[in-house]
Amino acid sequence: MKPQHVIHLAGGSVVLYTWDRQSYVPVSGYDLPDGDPATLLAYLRQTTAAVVAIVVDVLEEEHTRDTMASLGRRDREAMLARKLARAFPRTSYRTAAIQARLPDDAHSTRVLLSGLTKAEHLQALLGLLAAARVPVASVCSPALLSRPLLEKLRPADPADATLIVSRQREGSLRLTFFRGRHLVGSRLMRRSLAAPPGDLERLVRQLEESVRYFDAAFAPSASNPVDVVLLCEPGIDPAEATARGTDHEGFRLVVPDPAAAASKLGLKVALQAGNADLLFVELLRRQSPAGNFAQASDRRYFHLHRLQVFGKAACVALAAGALLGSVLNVVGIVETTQATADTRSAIADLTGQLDTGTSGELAGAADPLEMQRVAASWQAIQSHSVKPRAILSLVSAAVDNNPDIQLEAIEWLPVQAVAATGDTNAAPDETTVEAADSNADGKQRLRLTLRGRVEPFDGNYPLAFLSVRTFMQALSIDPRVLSVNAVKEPLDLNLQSTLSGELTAERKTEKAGFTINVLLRVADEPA
Amino acid sequence: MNQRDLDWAYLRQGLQSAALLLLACGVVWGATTAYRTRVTATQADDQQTLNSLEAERNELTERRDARRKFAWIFKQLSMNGVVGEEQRLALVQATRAAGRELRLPYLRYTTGPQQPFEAPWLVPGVAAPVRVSLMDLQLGLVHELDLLRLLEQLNEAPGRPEVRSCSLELLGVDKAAEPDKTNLGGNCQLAMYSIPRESTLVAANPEN
Repeated sequence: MKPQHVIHLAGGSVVLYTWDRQSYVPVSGYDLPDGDPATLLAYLRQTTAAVVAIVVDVLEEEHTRDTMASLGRRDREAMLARKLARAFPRTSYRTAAIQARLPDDAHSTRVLLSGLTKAEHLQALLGLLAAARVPVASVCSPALLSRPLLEKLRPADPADATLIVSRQREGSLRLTFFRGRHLVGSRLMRRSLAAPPGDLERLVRQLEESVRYFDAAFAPSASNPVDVVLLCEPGIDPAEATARGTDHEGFRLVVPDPAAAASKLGLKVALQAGNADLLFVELLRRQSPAGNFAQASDRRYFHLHRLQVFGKAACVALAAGALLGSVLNVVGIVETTQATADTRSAIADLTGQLDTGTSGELAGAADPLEMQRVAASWQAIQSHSVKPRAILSLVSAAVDNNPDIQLEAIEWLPVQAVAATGDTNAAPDETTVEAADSNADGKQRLRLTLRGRVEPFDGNYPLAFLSVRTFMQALSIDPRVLSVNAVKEPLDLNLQSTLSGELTAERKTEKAGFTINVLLRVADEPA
Repeated sequence: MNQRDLDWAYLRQGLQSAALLLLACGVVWGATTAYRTRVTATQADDQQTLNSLEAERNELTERRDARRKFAWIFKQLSMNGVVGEEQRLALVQATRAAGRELRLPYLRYTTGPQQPFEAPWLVPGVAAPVRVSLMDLQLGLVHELDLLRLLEQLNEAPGRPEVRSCSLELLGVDKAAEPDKTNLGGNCQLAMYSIPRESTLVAANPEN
């Protein structure tokens, strides 16, 4: 959450900045230690939903570098808490930042412990804000916000050490020392002690003294220089000052152009000479500070504010969903109502049709569906019935073509009917076999048995056989005939049986009889 | 953050408007949902009514078509004695009359009990249930055409009996046919089909 308001707490004053579309502008404030914060609080009460951050720029800020073993998150936090308590026992405004692993010990990590050793004004301010239920997101210092200045404004070929020097609104100098990319320490030189604007000779002396303060073992020289980034210094020309340098071979002075520096840092407005406060306030909106001095109790209303925001978002999302559902319901209701009207209209039409239809046409008559079933039964019976005239015409045609065939008996029998009724008088051997065959395909068959003789017969059996075969051939021509079998022929020519005969003067006793079975389709079945 | 840190008044102040908005939208959604459910249920009822009416109309159309197609044949079968009770008495009388008219040397008949007729081509539900009685005829014929004439006359008798099987044998193979004498002996089996009305079946089997 980006802060709407930023309170800059310096040694002598408190200034409230508020975001105004493109940049922060000061809107209220009071002097320390006896100023009246009522105006500031009244302004904040007007916008209780806005998040506030505090930048503390005071003398009593200390930084200590330490090392610790690489640990898991929970153990690391516990150890950092102990280290902070030991380093800054008299204040609860302290924070720690993990910097990097030690180059000569992969299992150890360098940490920076920071604390506000004297924070009465901050404590009082936080108390007032808590009483006013203002959500405070973070409390940080310019030193904890200086990392972007290092990365964006130092020279293209940076030295190992960098000093960020900025002129604060109250005239003091803020010096922040980096080794490599990591913060080592920061100090504030009050206005009465700090080199006045434009006095670079004195500034260099203070830089030397400050470097010794930050790292006693570090000696700036031509081979071990310090990049000095001078910000918001009034009364000097940035390009000229950068070109002229500091006359000290250990300090390489860089004075960025205010507009170019603002552009590099992503700020909408140029840096203001003599007011680095605004620079850090602006940075707070765009960069996360390296630490947060605020305690959990100080951030209570910030957490509650986040709960509010999430709750509002959830409520709005649910309300939007409910509203969308309502709209869909309304659309559905309209469609369903229209469909219901159509359905009722159709019901009315159908009811009218049915009333006139049932009362008139079908009243008093037999059920037409019963009629249909009766007709279906009768048509099925008719299509499977035996037609005697057709059978006799089949036989007559064959007999007419074979005048030497005399029939003595004729019999027809539906073979399926024999099997179904279990007629025990039928021939058991052949009829049963044919019935099974005819049932195999579910079709009804008719067995026609013809018994007769060849007449005239003069004892010429081959001729008699020929006549019978010709008769059988004539029968099989009809498309209704499935098969024609001779059950009995003029002579039993079976090689497995005995054949005997007699030749006497009385020829008339000789007879060439035969019996033929014909299997027929029922009349309506297709061939 | 634990429960002690919660400031309900602060939260309530911040969430009040959003909660009211949610409540209002929820009420609207609930009301529209309830109304839509009711409207949908009404529509479903109406649609069900319409479906049943359409089914009734389709059945009516089907009955109308069936009546147009089958009323005539049903009427004919009713008049011919196929539909309804078996016309056994009329058939016997018709058999006797036919034998007398054709001057058959002899005609003996035997009718069996009526029983349900079952055939694979009679599909239940599509075809009406059929009952059948078998009649055995023993015939003395002067000429084989007498058989055809007899069967044709019987086929016009009430119940329209169908020939199932027949055997015809020439008596006296070696002698010539004599007029007014029995030259041929025959045995035939006729089937007297009858299709009872469904109302009588229901009355006979109330469990069905």
